[in-house]
Order: sequence, then C-alpha cells, then structure tokens
Amino acid sequence: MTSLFASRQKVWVIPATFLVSYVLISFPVGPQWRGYVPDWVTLVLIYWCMAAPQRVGVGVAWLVGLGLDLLTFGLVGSHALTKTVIAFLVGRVALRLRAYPVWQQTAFILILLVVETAILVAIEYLVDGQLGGMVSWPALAVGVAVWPLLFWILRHCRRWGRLQ
Amino acid sequence: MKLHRYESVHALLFFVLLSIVLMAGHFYSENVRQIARVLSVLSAPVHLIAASPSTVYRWFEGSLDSEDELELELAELSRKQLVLQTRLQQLKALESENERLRNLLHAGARLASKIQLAQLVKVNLHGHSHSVLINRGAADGVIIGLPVIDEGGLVGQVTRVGSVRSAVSLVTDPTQGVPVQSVRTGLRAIAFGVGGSGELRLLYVDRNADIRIGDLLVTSGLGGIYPSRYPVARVSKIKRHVDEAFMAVHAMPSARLNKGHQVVLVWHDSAESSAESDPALPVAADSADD
Repeated sequence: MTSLFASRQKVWVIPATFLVSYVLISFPVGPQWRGYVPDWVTLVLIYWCMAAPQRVGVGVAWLVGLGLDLLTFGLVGSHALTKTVIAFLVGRVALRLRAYPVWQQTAFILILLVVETAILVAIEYLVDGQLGGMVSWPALAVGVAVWPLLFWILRHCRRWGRLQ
Repeated sequence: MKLHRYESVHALLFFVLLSIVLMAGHFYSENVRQIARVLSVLSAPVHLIAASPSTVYRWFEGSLDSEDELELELAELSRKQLVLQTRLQQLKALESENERLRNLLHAGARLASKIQLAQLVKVNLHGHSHSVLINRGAADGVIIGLPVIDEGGLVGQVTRVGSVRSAVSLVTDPTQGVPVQSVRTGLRAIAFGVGGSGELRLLYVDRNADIRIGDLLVTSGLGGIYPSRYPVARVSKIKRHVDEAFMAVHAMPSARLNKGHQVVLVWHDSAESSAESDPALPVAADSADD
C-alpha cells in the first residue's frame, strides 16, 4: 500500500498541475479567441482520475470544480457538478483506459467533454432560460486536439513525482 | 471476473446532490452568495498570475515612452481637461435650470448619481466570453445590476459580485437586453446581445418605424437598471421583410468593450435605493486609487 510518507513521492505535483490549469484557463485572450479556450481543468482532471484513481476521485473533482466556479465567477456548483460526473465516469474505466492507445483515449475524452458540455447547457437553460451564451463547442475540438500532448506532459510530471 | 472500480455510485450521488443544493443556494439564498463572495477572494492570486503578462507588457510599454511623448500627452490631456471643465460649468447651470423646471412641473427630482472608476482585470472568465472582470467588489459597494460605462458609452451591468472583484456582463452578452431609444426620433426598442459577432440586435422594431443606419441609440431608462441617456450603440444594418411585422436591425456598441483598461461604475437613483450608500451624496468622482 502506498503511504503518504513513502519513498520520496511528490504528491504536491497533483495540486500544482491543477493550479497551472486554473492559470491557463484564466489566461487573457482576444474576444474572438475566447470560444476556443479548452477547459484545461477538465483535461487535467481526466488525466489524474485515470492515472492516479486512488488519489483523485469524485471528492477532489468536486473541490476542483468548485474552485473553477469561484475563479470564473460562474454559478457556484455548476462546474462542481460536471467535474464530479467526469471523475465518476473516468474512475469506472480508469484501468482499462490506461491500457488503451492514445487515439482511443482521445475518442473517450471527446465523449467526456460532450457529456460535460451537455450538462452545462442544461444548467444554463434552467438558470437563464436560453441557450448559446455560456458554452462553446469549438473549445471541445481544441480540447480533444491537445489531449495527446497534455497526456505526454502530465505523464512526465507523474513519473517525475514518482506517483506509482 | 470483477473489474477493480474506484468510484462508488453513492459518492457520485452525494456530490451531485451537494452541487445541486449549492446551485440552488447561489440562485435563491443571499447567505450562500455571501459565502461565495468571500471565497472568491481565493481566486485573486490565480487571476494575478494569469494577468501578469499583460500587466508587465503595459508597464513596459509605459516605461518605453520618451519624455517628449509624455510631454505631448500631458499637453493634450491638459487641453482636454480645460475643454471638459468649461463644458462642465455649463452643465452645472443646465442642471440647476433643469431642477427648477422639474420643480415647476412638479416632477420628481432626479437624484444625483455617484460614480467610481474601476480597472479591468485582464483575465478570461471561462464560459462567460461576454463578461469582463473589474477590480471592485462588494467591499466598494458594488451590487448586482450596477451599470458600467466607459468613455464611449454603456459597457454592461454587474452580474456577479465578489468581495474585491466583480464580473460585468457586456451588452453583447446574449443574456443581456438594454432598453434603448433613438436620439433622432425617440423610437424605443430593446437591444439584445448577439454573442459571437459583438453586435447588438434590436427587437420589436415595427416594420414601418423611422430608423436609419447611423442613428445613435441611448439608454431609455425604462426598466430601472440603466440610467437614461447613455450612448449604447449605433445602427449599422437594417433589413426589412415585407411579410414580417418587425424588422431586423443591427447595431454596433459605442463602448470600447474589450479594448479599454478602465470603466466607470454608476450608482443612479434606482440602483441607489438598494445600495448602502447615502442617496443624498453629491456627484463624487472618486479618483482611481491604484
């Protein structure tokens, strides 16, 4: 069993990557590019739920989502909800997902991002009574496109931190 | 064969329910909003880091200006100041005259408004592409629905308030509608944000209404959120269809929505009543303290 004090593990790598994803998602871009910014937080969350499922689960996901809600001055609870669902879905298939080649993972990522976006659209519709403001579908494509690169970077982070 | 699964359905249900309770709380309960306001302070360091490249750039840009350029700028600003000061004298006279006439007509006096400068925090509010962040919050008396303007015209209204920061929904946000009036004809309409294109669309303009390209639209003051007579947009495109009761009118916002660095918050009479500031306060132009 892994213990918190065992063998030079750098567990702080996980919160650090989430912090970086917060910064990336807040990074200022021109108004015409705003619809293309992927949800970095979701992507990082998917990675850790897959690679370190005993450390990052629905509880952590909920906290991370809550942080994102506060960060974006959004409806508190909306991203907390979607991140929880994402963590649950990934956790269910984490071990199989790790064995998949990257392109198959990427297909699964697309499904996850679509699920998250659909939930956000539903929430937006319930709250604002209309569609189209909050969610942008091009960002989904960008998110899927950067996944292989992000996966590679985060795997290096994980190995450097000696997590498993 | 049993696969090792890490997530239990119970944990999922618990956190999903917790999120739904939070959302409902944020929507209906002032206490939850209060907690969210306080917690939103935690996002300040992240915003600081994300905004730092543009902050450094602006600082660098400023320090590269030569002395001559600065002197030119100073001269230009003094000139503008003089012109504005002269106009302001007339305005004072007009204001008192207006007050007297209103008294004669037994119309209610207009309460003077309070204004405050705010800086834009250059960050991307993910999922709210037609919102900007400003460096004023509940601590400065900012409330939901507070109108925001800049030198060009109406920027939008405050839609979420944190302790020290607030999010402003721009007039181009699809969820925003501004009651407007044409300066030329007095025609009333509602200008809705379109989203992507950064345009506004006028709804409920009669097919036979007198409206032309280039008409200036100002806030009509109906609805009570926005004070009247601030420029909102200029009509840029008109399409008439014979078989439709209304025509399609597009307008370009007058404010420098995303390009500016500073905006002005306006507390006017109807917003004033819910703010905890003195309604009898005279026009107090706070200088930017940062």
